[in-house]
Amino acid sequence: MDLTRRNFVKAASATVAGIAAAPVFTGLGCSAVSKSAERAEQLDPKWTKQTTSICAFCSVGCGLLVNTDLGTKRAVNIEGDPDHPINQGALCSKGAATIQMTENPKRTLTCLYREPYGKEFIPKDWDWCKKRIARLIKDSRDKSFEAKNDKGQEVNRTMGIASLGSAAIDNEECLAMHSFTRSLGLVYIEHQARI
Amino acid sequence: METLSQTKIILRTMERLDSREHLPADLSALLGKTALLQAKHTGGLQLDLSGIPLSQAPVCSPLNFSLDMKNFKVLTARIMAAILDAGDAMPASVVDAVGLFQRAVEKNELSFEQAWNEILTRFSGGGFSGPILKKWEAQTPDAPSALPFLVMAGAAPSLQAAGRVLAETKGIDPKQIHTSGACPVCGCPPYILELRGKEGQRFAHCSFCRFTYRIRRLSCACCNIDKADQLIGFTAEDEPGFRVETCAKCNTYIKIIDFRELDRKAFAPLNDFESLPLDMLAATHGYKRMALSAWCI
Repeated sequence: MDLTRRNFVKAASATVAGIAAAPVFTGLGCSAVSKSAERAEQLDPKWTKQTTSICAFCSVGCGLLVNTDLGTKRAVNIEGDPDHPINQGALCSKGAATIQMTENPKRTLTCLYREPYGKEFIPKDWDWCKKRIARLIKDSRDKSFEAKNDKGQEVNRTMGIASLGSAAIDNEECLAMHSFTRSLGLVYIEHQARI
Repeated sequence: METLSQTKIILRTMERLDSREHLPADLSALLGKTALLQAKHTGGLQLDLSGIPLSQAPVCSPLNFSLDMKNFKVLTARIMAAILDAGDAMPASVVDAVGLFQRAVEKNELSFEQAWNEILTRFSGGGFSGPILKKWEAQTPDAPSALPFLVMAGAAPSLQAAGRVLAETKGIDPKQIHTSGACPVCGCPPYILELRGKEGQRFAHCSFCRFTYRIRRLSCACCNIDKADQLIGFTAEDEPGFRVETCAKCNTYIKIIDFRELDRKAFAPLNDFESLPLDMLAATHGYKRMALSAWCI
């Protein structure tokens, strides 16, 4: 008899049906496994689910398997996806540390500011930092803005500021960032995906 | 060399089983001893696999698997002798059953080959128990699976060798990813999965021919769905090296051996028994196992 898919499904379900009648490893004397049943009651199962993801550190795009706790909804483990055609389960040192992007007690939780010639970092809130960054950008841009180049052609650019992006930024964020920096007249715009 | 290292792995796994006090010691001894005897009887098998109708994935129905009958008889006899010799160390219900079988075989009331044919029917989608299995199940109420256990234990080395040969004949590469969870050789469901290598490739162990083949990490080995939110699983701190994965669609579970962070090697038929509390825990959550253990129990 050739085993067709249909026959196989029948076979598989027959086996499953057989299990229902006799729990596994009890067919040679049921009383012997009662201690294991007690043990099972004492176990504290940690329920998780696994999902695939893509490493955000560079443009190679390695596949990840993320194990997420169903109770806390936090990632408990991230490893390379062995079935992914690009990395086949392997990860570089940055990728292997991906979980630290979310689960790391040493992560900085506030902005830190060091004054010019200052020796210590001072925690600052986002509002303060945004204002400070905006102020510095405006000052640098005004100082270095060129409406025309040496040949007298209209350029409306600033050579005093450069933008270095991040490989962890997605396409849409890149578009927003690119539009913003171009509107300021930046020429040196780098996404850094290949670094 | 292969059998030597295999024996070492079995012995180490047996030590591990002994250290787990919640596992029944007599059953540990029985399975360990049987595994050792099987490892000793893997060489020089004479398999006649000519004339078997072969198809593509799965290659061959369990019904068409043939055994090395000499090896089967010798191994079954040795296992029976080992059980009777060890006496007190083995489960009393099994010792009684084996005594009964031995007397029946001497009187020609029981034929292991016929019992084996009924096991084949079970694996190829027929009834779970034929008339012979049913009769002896009734005769040995304390150990109803004693006959299937004995017959499967004797057949395992032949089956394993046949599975490998058939896979080679059809060019099945166990290291390639198989999209179906069923065995590419005989079409039976796996009894346990194993993560191998640092990369964590997932391999399935066939419950019939013990063929080991690679399957996807994120999929149900029974119904092949790959929806992440339907495939939840659990680990337990006191059962290191094992994970249970369940499927909401077909309501089954399967255990996964993951010794990547432990200093030990897997021997699936015994590791399956070692993680028995996880089976019971999965059962209390309402999940069914997709296949019996490699021991037909």
